[in-house]
Amino acid sequence: MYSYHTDLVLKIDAALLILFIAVAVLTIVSVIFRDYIWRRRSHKLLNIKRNVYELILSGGKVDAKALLPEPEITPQQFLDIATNRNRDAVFFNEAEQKSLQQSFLSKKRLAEIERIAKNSWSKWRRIEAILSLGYAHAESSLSVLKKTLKARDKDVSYFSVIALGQIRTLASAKILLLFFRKHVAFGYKIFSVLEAFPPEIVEEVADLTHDLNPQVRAWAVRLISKLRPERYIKRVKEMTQDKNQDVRAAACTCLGELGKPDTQDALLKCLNDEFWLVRTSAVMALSKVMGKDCIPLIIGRINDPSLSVIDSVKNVMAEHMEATLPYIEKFLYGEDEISKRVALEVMGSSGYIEKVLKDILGGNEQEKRRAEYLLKGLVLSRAHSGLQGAILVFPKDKRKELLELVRNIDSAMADHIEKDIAREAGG
Amino acid sequence: MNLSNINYIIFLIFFGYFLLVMVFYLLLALLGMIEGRRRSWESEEEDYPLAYLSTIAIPVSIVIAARNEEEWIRDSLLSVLNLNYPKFEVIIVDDASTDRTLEILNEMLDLMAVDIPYVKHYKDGFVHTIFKSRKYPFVTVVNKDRGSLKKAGAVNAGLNLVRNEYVCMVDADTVLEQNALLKVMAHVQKDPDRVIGIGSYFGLSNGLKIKDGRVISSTPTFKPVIAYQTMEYIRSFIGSRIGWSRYNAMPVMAGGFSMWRRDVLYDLGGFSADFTCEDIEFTFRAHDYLIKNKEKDYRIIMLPYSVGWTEGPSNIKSLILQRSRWQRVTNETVFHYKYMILNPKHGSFAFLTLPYFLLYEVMGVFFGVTSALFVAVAWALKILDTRTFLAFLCLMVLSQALMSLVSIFSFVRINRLYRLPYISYLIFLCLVELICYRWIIYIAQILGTYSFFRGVKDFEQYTRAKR
Repeated sequence: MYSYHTDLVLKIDAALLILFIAVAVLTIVSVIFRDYIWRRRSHKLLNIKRNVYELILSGGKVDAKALLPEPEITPQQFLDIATNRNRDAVFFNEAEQKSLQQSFLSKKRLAEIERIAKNSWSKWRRIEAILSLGYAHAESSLSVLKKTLKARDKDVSYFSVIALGQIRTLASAKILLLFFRKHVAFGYKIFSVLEAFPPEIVEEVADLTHDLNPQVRAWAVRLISKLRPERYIKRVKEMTQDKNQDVRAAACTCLGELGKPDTQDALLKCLNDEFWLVRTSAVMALSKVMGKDCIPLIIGRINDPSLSVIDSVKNVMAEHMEATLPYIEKFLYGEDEISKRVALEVMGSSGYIEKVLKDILGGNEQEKRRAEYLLKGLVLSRAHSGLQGAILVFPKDKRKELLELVRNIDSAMADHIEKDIAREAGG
Repeated sequence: MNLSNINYIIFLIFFGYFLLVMVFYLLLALLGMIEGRRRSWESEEEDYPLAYLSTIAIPVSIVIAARNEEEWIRDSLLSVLNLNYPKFEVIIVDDASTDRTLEILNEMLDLMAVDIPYVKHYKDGFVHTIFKSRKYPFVTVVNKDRGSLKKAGAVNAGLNLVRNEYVCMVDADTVLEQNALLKVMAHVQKDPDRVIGIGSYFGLSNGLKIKDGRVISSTPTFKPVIAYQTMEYIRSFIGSRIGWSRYNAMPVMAGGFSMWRRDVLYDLGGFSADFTCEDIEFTFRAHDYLIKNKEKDYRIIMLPYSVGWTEGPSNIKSLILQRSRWQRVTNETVFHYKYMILNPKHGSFAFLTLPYFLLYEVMGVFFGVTSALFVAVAWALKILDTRTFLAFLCLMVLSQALMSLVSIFSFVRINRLYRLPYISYLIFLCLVELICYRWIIYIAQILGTYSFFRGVKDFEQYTRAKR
């Protein structure tokens, strides 16, 4: 007879039961404690809000410390107020946030927060202190943030980026850019932070356009396009011929953002770049720089091997329909299938098919003639869906009239559209 | 060898299995707790307003595959239109709905049919019409035939039109939180070169009050079949996936809300219709592909934040149908990618996730049912005395209960979604899970395993209760 170790199993049962009860109690206590902390936190914030309100009403004459039950505000409370992260409970408006900042962040207090940021054993307490320094715009604490930025712990380093991003001075930008040079993977975060900085930082950013790392150069030119410094146009134009494709594409986008006509030549060269993203960016940039005048220059790109480039040309065409119409007419009656498809899509996405139909029904003689010509082109190019969608917009009697016109060109298509419309309208 | 010998050997196998799975699960839950806590702190300190205002934000394409979703599509779409994110487009694929889904979309979006070039990068079936919204220019609707490609075909049709770097797949019955994209993309933005996939926790919307795409009261229903599913979601997301994510060994990105980098979707040819469902297989394939192509420095991440709510089965019959499907696709996928198991090339995924998947998700039903039967039969044949029988029964009940409870504990440390009465109720349900609920899942898993061996690949949609 084998032993099934019943006693051992019973002991395991007992251990599991004790563990279950312990974890169950811990769970319930955690929920109660969590809710209590949340209420307490909200209550404290509410008190602070009330007092700050009084402080604002008194025009700052009343001593803040006399008003507040807890003048020693913690980094956590400060962040709750500065970022409104606890907004479900209490919301602080800008004036209240400012008033608090001035009243409570004394030199002594900042020194204490700096100490926590540097030395606290709790990582997340440290991070709260780091963020507090940022939201307090404590420029005097930059040296501390510079050190925490280089911390081995990725979270400490990451939130130091956020804190430096809040200070928004030339000095904090310099620290961030220096850090970026060594940690290029952080590019997205650092540059989304830097784009909120004042334009004075542009010189520091422009320095990066000469960096050996192409990713650094690309990010630099992207940021320049947000800061819009005209004095760097020449450098950005040079960058459209950079060895690296990402840099060239970013430079084109930047020239588009700057919108200066003297950058056309550089952009036109990029239309023939070997890399599709550069060509796409050049098309979009030319549209921003030249407006409708760019159409004849970019129209050839509808035969580009890259769909992205075709897409960008199409978007620009749809933006400037009047300038595009002669080309659309040519494409609709032409032989090239891709050009036809592009023409149909431009007509559809710009809502121009509806305009064509309206002109047929009520335009002047010249408009009507042109519209009829376009309609014929649309029907011959098999613009079934676009036409159907546009015809549906009109009342029943007008639909019939339009369908008759389509029938005169292609009766099978008219029947098809009629059937579909009847089905969509519920028979 | 007599009956007692056989019985004893079986006893040793099952006992060993129980201990192994329990220790594995508890370790995983512990890792999940540590990782989840870290993510929770991170989220609290994150500067979301800055991310929202950034023009450098990474643009996202949201793809929603909808088939007969007239009851849910309105709220789902409104929640997407209300999202706080600077740059996104929405592509909704109406997968040959026979109800009012397309009509509702038209009412909400004011659609116009457009003739746009449609390039089939992925297998998608026959596309009838592409519509653009007049009201929201960033919304596109595709109307297509279902064919044999199931949901995978619908999602692929949406993928054929996406333009942005990251693609978020959302179920048509999922209502997203307003900050869902911000929360997830804040993580992507830290390192888009490495993050190829990311998902986050979502709960069940059954019984919640939802108005105009927003959950206005998140007090959940106490209906046991829903509460048990909530518990399973917590166990799956918080108890396992967060732990796996810590070691880059995530086995599944749930279809309700998952985000993938577009180049990875493109390289892998989109979702496959050769499997019953598409989400788990795609995650396996992504791991496999990237490792085979020596791109070891990638990340597939699971986050613990609540990003939305999805509709779950509201009765036992629907639950069995859904879970048998899940079981079948799990078996199909593990069987298909069996060469990855304990393959040193595949790292933590091969040594951490796959053995667990094989033991717990694939063979768990066999061990669970057989061990219960074994104990009962042995007791009936008087091989086991009543005291031993009860001791084993308690072992099974308590180990199951503890596994669920540890996840609930992690969950309450991370999320404030549920209040004390509901958490207490879940704790009580843990204790009776094996007797009241687990058997339903076992039935579903047996059916799923049976249909797997029969080679069934259908995607049977269960009937959902009206909201």
